[in-house]
Amino acid sequence: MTAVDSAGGGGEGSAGRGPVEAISNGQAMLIIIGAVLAVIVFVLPGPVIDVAGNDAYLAPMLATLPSIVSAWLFVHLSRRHGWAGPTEYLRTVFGNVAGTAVAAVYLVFFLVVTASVGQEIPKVVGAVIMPMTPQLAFVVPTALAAAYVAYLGLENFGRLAQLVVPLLMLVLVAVPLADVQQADFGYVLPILNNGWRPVLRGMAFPMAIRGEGAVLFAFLLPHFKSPRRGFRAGVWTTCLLGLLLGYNVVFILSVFSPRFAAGLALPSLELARMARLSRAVEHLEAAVLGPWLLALTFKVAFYVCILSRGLAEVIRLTDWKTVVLPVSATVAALGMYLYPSSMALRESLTAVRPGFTLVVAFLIPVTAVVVSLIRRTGTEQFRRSAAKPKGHGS
Amino acid sequence: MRHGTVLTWFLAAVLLFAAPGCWDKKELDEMLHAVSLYLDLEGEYLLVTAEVLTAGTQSPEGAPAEHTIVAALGTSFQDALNNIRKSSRHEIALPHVDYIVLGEALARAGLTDLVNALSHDYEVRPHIHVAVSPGKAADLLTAKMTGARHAETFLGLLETSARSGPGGGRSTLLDLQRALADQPAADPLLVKLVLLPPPPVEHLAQHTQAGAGGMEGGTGGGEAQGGGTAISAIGGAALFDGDRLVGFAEELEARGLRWALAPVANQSIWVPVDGRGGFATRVSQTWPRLTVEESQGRLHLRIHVEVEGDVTELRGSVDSDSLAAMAELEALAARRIEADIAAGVAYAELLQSDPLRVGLSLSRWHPALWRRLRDDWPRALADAVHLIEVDVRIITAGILGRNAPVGRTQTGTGP
Repeated sequence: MTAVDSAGGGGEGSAGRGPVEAISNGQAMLIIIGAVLAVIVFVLPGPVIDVAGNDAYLAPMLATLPSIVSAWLFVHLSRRHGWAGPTEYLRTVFGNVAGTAVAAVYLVFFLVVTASVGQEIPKVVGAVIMPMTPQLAFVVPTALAAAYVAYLGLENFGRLAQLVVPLLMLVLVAVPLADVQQADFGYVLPILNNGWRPVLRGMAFPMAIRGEGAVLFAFLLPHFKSPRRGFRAGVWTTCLLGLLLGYNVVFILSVFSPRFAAGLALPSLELARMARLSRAVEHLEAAVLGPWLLALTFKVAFYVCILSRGLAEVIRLTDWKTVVLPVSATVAALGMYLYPSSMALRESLTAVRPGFTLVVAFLIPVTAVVVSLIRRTGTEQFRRSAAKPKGHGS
Repeated sequence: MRHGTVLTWFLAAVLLFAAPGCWDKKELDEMLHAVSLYLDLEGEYLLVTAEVLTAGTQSPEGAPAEHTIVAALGTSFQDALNNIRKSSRHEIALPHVDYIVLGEALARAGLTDLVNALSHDYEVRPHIHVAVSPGKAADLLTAKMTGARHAETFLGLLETSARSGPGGGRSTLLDLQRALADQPAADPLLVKLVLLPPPPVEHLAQHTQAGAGGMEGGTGGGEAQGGGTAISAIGGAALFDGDRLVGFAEELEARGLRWALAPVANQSIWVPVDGRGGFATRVSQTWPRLTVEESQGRLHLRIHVEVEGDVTELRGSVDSDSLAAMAELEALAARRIEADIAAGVAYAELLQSDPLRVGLSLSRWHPALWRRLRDDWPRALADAVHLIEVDVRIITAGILGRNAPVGRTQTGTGP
């Protein structure tokens, strides 16, 4: 093992930190893919098609590039600071007070995102299959389940992701194939008839969620078993996401036509409604809704876990698990307050989230890199700690 | 017991009680399950007539649920459904609706609002069939319910038409949604559903298939009912300009449009041969291709259809016994299909309708030209030069290459 690996994430006691729960790079990839797919694939194709028209499939694929840049910034910062997480190295870079404030921005980001993700379950399920069920009937069980799963710790998420995310990916790849008969792939033509501008504008929505994936990557990096290979895993993850989302949008465009698809609130679910194998197999919505609800609950639970850990680090609690239930309850209550309707939820995703993500996935890491280069933070401390003989610091 | 186990059981109990969705308790027995909808315009109101079955009802003999009719007027689709709920005191469920029949007056008034309303209802699936009926759609249902022995006659016809008939599934709610969204580059082309007058009883005794000549199977057909009952049939197509019905194409024109529009499979055509009889060809598959380009200031529309099939019947002195004879049959079949297509295209142009989606093709392959023409579409299409080409390949001639001579009665004009 290299000095970096021994000092860094996944190992025990990196750079003076306590024991770090480790997950494999593959599990981390699956966690990020699940977190991104759970939201983007169901909610976002509509607004992207609305802006980019028949070229909409290019937008999520192009959003791969900024995601890679963002991931590189986080990897660079983490590597300079001994594979630490954002809440730690931000305090080193910006100083204790300013760094804590900036770390708090990330906590607010996760709080808002988790609140909105938690509301997708009642808004979507309520809209399509259980319109008479009170929203609390979805929110309370989700909050309780999320708190319990978060309480079990990070390693459980790795194993859970190995079950849930491949299932979701399989469904998202297989269900559109059942619609091939109805698909008219000519709807993606003419390519770039209106130039690149609509595609670049349409990139804002997928970029927002993909940027969220990059932030998630930053928070997971300290827990990678092999953080040196973290960037490669990040690139693979984001490329795979780009392909999956592009594939999904191509089918949505081909089955529904760009103009009709632009008005659909849940185009991916509509794809499943369309699926029909002979006259025997119909109503495949459940095949999509099941893995998707699993992935959403998984995402809420995971974000509650990250929020609780981040909060514990910022306010310097010794045991982060003590705040899991209050955090989960806060998230649920905030979600019901901030997003009383499905339109409020959609508006937050399309209008608020892109700006917020620009700040947390690009602006803050770029500033942090510049400041750390100017102040020469990280590298020197890291070199000193790496140069120490093993066991010296104990 | 461990805390974790208690917590797990507690969470499971919460989920079991909260999530199953029985908040608006509805028993299946108490619901009306609509299997088809018939929509008409009555003055300013929408008349929704539904063919429903109730899971709990049984006939006195203990037979399973019977189809019944419920109907209500409303200012909108949902309002009419609410009125059905009020009058029947039952919840009406739409997930099992297989087809919708639109009345002529409603279709002529414009379908955008209705299609939006149907698209908004999660229970109405996008792949259900949509047909238009001359006159009132509800009359079609009433006639069917009073006389038809087979409750699914219409559905069977629509399914056959969508699966293998000319039209290839271009008459669903999704097709309607797409065509309306593609305006003005494409116009809907829906199936025309009719009740044919009852044939003479002596004729019924001999034949069970309706429709003679032309394309058989999916487009004609239907079940002959005893006792002079009308026969349900697909009697052509409904042509639209935008969201408004502008005319009904008869069998010939509809057939021509559908040859050009989508692949056709497992259909028979009858090709008469002047003075010699004729022959039947079963079309196994087709490959239609539409290309549009501008030349010397005019649009040139080229419709090319490749057809593959077999000879299934020879009449009179027509034979398929040699390469030359086969080539002649192929050419005759091709001319027959070309004539169908020409008739269909001419009729669509007469009504200023673009069911072949020529505008859509233009917008995909020649976007600059489309930008120039779209404001005057489909009038610009009416000035287009047409080139219709059909290539027929007969793969097998069957087991009989030439009819056996049977003497003086062989005239080639028999049934």
